[in-house]
Amino acid sequence: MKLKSLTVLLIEDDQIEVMKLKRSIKQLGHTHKVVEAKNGEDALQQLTSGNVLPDIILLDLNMPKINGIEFLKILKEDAKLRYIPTVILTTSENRTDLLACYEVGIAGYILKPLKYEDYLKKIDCTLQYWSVNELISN
Amino acid sequence: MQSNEIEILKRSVERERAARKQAERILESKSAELFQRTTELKVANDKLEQLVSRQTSELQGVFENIVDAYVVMDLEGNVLKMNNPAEELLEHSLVQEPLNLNSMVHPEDAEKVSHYFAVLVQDGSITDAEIRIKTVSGHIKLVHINASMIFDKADKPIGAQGIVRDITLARREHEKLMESESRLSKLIANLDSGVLLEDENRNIALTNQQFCDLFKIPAPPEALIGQNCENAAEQSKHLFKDPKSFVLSIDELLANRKTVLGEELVMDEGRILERDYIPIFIDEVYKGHLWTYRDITLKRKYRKSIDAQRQKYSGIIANMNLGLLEVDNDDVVQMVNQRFIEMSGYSEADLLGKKASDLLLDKNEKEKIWKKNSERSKGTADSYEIQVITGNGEQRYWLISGAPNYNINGELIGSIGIHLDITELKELELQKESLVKKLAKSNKELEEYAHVVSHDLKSPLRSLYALTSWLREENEGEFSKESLSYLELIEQTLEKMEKLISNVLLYSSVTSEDDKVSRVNLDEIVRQLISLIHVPDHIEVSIKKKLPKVIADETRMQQLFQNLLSNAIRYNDKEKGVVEIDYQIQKGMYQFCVRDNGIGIKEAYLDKIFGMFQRLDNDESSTGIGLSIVKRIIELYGGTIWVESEPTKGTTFYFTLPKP
Repeated sequence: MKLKSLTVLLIEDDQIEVMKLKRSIKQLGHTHKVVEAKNGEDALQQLTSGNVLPDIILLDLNMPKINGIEFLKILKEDAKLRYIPTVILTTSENRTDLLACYEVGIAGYILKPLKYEDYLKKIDCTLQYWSVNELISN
Repeated sequence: MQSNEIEILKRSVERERAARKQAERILESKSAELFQRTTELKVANDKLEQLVSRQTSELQGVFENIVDAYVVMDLEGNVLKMNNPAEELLEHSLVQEPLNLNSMVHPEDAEKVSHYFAVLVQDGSITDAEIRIKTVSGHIKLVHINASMIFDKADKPIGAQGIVRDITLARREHEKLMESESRLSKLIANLDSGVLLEDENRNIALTNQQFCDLFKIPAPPEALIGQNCENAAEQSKHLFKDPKSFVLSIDELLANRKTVLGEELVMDEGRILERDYIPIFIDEVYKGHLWTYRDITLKRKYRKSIDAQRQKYSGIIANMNLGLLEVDNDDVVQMVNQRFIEMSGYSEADLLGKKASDLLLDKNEKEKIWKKNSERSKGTADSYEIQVITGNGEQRYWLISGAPNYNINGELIGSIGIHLDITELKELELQKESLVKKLAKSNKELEEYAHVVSHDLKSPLRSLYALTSWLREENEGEFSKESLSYLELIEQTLEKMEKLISNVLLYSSVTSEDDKVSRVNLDEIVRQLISLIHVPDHIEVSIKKKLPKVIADETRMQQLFQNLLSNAIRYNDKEKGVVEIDYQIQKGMYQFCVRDNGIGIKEAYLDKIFGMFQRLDNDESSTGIGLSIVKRIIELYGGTIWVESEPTKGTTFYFTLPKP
């Protein structure tokens, strides 16, 4: 079965993290398209301008300017954008963060593991999962 | 002849006729006279009879009406006759039934009665016989009898008559009197007062041992009776501190003949006597006087010590740093001490007679006081805090300890409160509260901060790890074996760094703040743990007995046992490793132990192992935080942890947790 190609909006300020995702997708042989946003503001701008309508959003929590949760809140207030599944991709094990995210509304919460191999597996699973989902943008 | 003869005859007949007539006349008058006499005699006789009968009935009346019981009996004791008082006394009526007196005699007096009877027969009478009888109704009566024999014309005894008096009551009264007299004399003898009763001639009528003791008289009190007291004062004056005035006062008392009570006399040896003088008058005629002397030395001393104590306490109350307030049942101020006056900011005059609550309290606080006062009326004492506004307009906090106040009859008359100004304390308390709040906030911030820091520290580790992996991937087959091992070392170091950061975060999060305590089944948790952590084949982990339940946070308990068990497993060098978990109850706590037969810990390190970042070996996988976390968790629940160990033999960790 051929997997659907997803458009993934990665909101991440760390350049190496962006490289990690891109490299992982390539290495895993997926055909998903990664759209980058350096921070929440950047992402919102891209989303509202209509240039991009991602299938899913991967969101880091700790970012300069608007942080992940703030971004999430703004997103959830948007009548259209609120339906985009947003998965948190973070190193924060803080339970408060976890609760806050689910409170606002997220589709998943993935902890970045230390080992790159583990990261690969997690990204593989996540993207495969979403590629078998019926998504709004289609 | 014839004629003559006839004449003669005639005359003779005539004479005879006349004589007869004469005789008849005499007879007639004689018989009339006899009749007259007979009639007169009859009248006299009647009169006599009447007289006799009247006298008899008079006697009968006397007999029946005498106050004392009068009884006539035959020689067998059968009552022939008795009067009303006798019927009442014997509770018997002859009309209804005959009565034998012997049947009434009290069994114990039977012998006595037969003795009296013998005397009666022999002497013809008895006087003052006393016997007990028992009446139909069961009453035992003591009766007094005077009796005499009755004889017929031939001087033969045919019965006896007697006067019977009921002396039961009289006897009882008499006995009571005797008893009371003996009690009185005993009382006087045992009085703790010395008593001396003198008659009008100053002769001793009565005294007791105490009197002799007080005045050091060597004779027994009985020996003093009758002796004259004219010189007594002179003789005993030396016993007193002021002999002259002792004699003078006695002379004065005797001259005045007025009752004087409670005079105090100080004796030479320091004892204090109290003296009463009571003159005795009977029908306003002086009959003597009574002296009583009491030793009140102890009492006086006692009173002195009570006075001293009272003074001491009133001194304390007046000068203590606690405000004292006494109010009646309507909260009206009765008494305040100096400190209360100072505290209240009012003058004593402002306070007395006013309602304390009106002066010092606002509406809310008044309600509090009313509630407390109503509790006071139920007799409860307690303490509470109150906010007052003093006379100077200052707002102060007082701690009041209040108790109901009773009078000597045990009636509630109000309450007494001790007041302590705790404004400073209260302010400190409020400060503390806000500090605690601040601290909690800053703790929370710190925890947030720790999370952010850990995130920020961990992120570069991830990047480094990824970069290292890519280095290896991109140069596959090109790196030397050594270079590859360096890469591996970089990865290991990164892992350690990661773990270190996690543990620091974990340690910092062991605070009571976000504790989610519940009843935790340690047995379940530890069994799960054992199945989860990696236990090498040569080590056996066993739970000696089913572990109890404690009140704690489940995650913390997992961390606690996981750390101890991992240590026990990791530092085991024996061929057959043994790790045991056990517990016992000690002083209301559960005392757990985790025992291993591992490498042990040198004594020098025993103190250090619970410190942060303390590692005892060069094991790369150890961060040195594990036991610090364990200690912090145990202390969080009020437990303690300690360790016993012998190098090469093994280690035992002991720790306690509260028993729910």
